Amino acid sequence: MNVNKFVFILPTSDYLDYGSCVLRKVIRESVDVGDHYRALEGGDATPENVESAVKGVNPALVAGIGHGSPCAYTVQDKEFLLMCLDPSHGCDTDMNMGLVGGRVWFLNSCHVGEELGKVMVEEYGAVAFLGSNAPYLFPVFAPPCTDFDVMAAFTAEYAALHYLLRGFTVKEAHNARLKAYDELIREYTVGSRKTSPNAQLIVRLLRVDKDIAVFYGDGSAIVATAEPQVKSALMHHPMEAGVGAVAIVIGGLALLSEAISKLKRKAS
Amino acid sequence: MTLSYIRSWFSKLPEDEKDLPIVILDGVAYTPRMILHEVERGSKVGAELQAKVEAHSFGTTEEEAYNLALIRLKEILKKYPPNKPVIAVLSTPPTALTPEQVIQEVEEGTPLGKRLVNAELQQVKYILSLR
Repeated sequence: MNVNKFVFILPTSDYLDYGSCVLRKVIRESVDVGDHYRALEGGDATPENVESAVKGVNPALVAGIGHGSPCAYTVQDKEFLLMCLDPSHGCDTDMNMGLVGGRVWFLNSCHVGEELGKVMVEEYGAVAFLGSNAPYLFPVFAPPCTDFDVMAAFTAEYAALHYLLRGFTVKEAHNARLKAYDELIREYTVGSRKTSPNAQLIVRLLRVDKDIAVFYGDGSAIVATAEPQVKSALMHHPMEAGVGAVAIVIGGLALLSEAISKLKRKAS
Repeated sequence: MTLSYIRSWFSKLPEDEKDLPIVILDGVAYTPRMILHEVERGSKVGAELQAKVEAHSFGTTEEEAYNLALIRLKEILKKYPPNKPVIAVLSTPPTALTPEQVIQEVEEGTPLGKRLVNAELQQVKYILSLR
């Protein structure tokens, strides 16, 4: 795979801005200067632009948010990017499946893990797929990224992306997001966030989203290289990597990122 | 099995959970505060409730479990404006649900409703296991 090369899909229509604003922060904190990537945001996150970016960058990882069904993943304005034939779910053709092979896909979307994710791996050569196999839920009682409560679900989910971008394997990344969900459930039940007026609702959504998290394909695949010292630091401080990397407060991400940068400079 | 066990458990609960029904016994839903009161009174029902808490058991039938989850979800969602979306779903077509619509999903037993019930019961077990 073409490691350290990524394409990110950040549509903002139809409530997707709730996830895209968190994804934007993850990219800012996790992608190194030396990495090569394209990030398609808002009106730029069209099927044509994504197709062009994937063909141009030939990334090891495509990561994004979008609305989905068992057989389709959509981007800005619900335009179809990927589809596998399944008339029973309203998918009457394959679409763009030729883009899929030879790379890891992280798609934060409802249902895609139910069928499309499997087809991507089993029939079209995707190295791995991470996503959800049922409806993915998130709160919308406040505007996007205005407080941690509305970001909580995505913060846990994108722990997987943090790990992937720091050189961990697909399986390690998947486990990191499960751990992040558990940690946030604990925080909102008995920890520092239990006094939030939204704590009870957030916990229920976190539990649903954790239960539907799936990955398929090669769990040992890696999409980014990281300095051994960086990985070692994260392995010895798993809570920091799992929870700090997703950070109860986003400021924690900045601290972790700074720590990683220091280690990298020391290594070089 | 001692009073101190229940007191210790009660003290660890988030404030919001202390007055949410958590155990059903003989068709009656008891909150943690009610359970503590009965155990402190030394009543027969208190002893039965204490046994349930210690066994992390919230009910005996599927129907009781469902009813408990529904009561709790209704209480939780009461905090939010009834006609304003509170949860969004990354589905096609995109969906945003008001509190009323969320409860409707649960009452109609839709796949989403069942997941919410399951999540609620997982949280009940977690609350019962707090030490």
